[in-house]
Amino acid sequence: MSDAIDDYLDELAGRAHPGGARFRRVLAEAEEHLRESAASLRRAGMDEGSAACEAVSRFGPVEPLVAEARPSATVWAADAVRAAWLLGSTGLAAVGLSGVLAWALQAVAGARFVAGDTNGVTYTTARCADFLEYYPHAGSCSAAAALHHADEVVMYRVLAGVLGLVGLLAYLWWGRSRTGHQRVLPAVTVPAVAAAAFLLAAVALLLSSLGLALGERVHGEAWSGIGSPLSGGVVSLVAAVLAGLLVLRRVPRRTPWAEASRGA
Amino acid sequence: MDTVAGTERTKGHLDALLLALLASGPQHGYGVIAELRDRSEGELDLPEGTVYPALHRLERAGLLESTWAPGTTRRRRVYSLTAAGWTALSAERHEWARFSTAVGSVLSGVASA
Repeated sequence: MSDAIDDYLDELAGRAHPGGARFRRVLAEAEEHLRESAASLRRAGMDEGSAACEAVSRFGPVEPLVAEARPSATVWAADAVRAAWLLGSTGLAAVGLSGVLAWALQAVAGARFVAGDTNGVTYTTARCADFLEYYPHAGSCSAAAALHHADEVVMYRVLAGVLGLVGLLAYLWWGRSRTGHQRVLPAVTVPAVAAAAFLLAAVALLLSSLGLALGERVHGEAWSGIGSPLSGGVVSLVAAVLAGLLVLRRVPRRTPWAEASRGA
Repeated sequence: MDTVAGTERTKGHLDALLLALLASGPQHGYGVIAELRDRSEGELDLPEGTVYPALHRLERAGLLESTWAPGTTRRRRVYSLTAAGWTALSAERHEWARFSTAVGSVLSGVASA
């Protein structure tokens, strides 16, 4: 059975930002104070219900405590940096995975499929000489250019991926060493932003691949340069689905105070 | 004392009062407010919940420190003065002595030479 003290604490919990250290401390101190005050009033002869009401009345309105339980701007900023770091590192790691996929596509379908130029692209003689110097076995300027571009796609993306992995490792290390860090952003924030960003990237990159495929068909050429956006689009789509599943797992279904009021 | 005016007056000096109350030893929030009421014989009274934001503010300012300690039914946060808190209390006492002397002089009609 809930009493006036439970109702007061429920209101405090419902109006303050839950989860932070300040919130837990304010709630614990308020409850300890109210229970001790009510016990003192009962010892003075009050019945249990009246003592609880009087203790709440003496404690005063909930607003000053709600304001006190609110996390500071520093805590919000630190948590936002944490979330941005995680999102950025995950994004870079996904770019790295798309580099690996581009490398696999290159092995299977060739460099022209991954990063070949579209119709109408030409190079100067000097530039062609550069490409052929690096890829003497390519046989033609356009084939050497495609090999050069494909290698760049793979190398830069994999480097971004390594950077992302380092970022994720740093994030894990930071999370373990800073046990007192307050999480004030809802747990669903990072996966929700990631899902939205990856979905946007997937749509843009897959549409770009489709555009290249249809454009090249019109001109009757082999599908050139599709592998680059396609690899990014596929990885983005998979990442969007995984992030979406995390969102579904983390969406809060029941709040502690909703549970409490249900049980009351 | 008028309740609203008395509460506002008490709030205006709350930091100094809390430092002075904790000068007699570590105390939890309920104990602090009970002692405030006892020492002032009920004259200084304010909503009890307002003492916690003030205690937290003084702790963030480095004038108090606190730790969890076992209570009668559950753990409680116990506050005590830091070295900076003792210094601040000394300054508050000095300032209050000057202020009350000045106000007393005016209210009693004693003119300074």
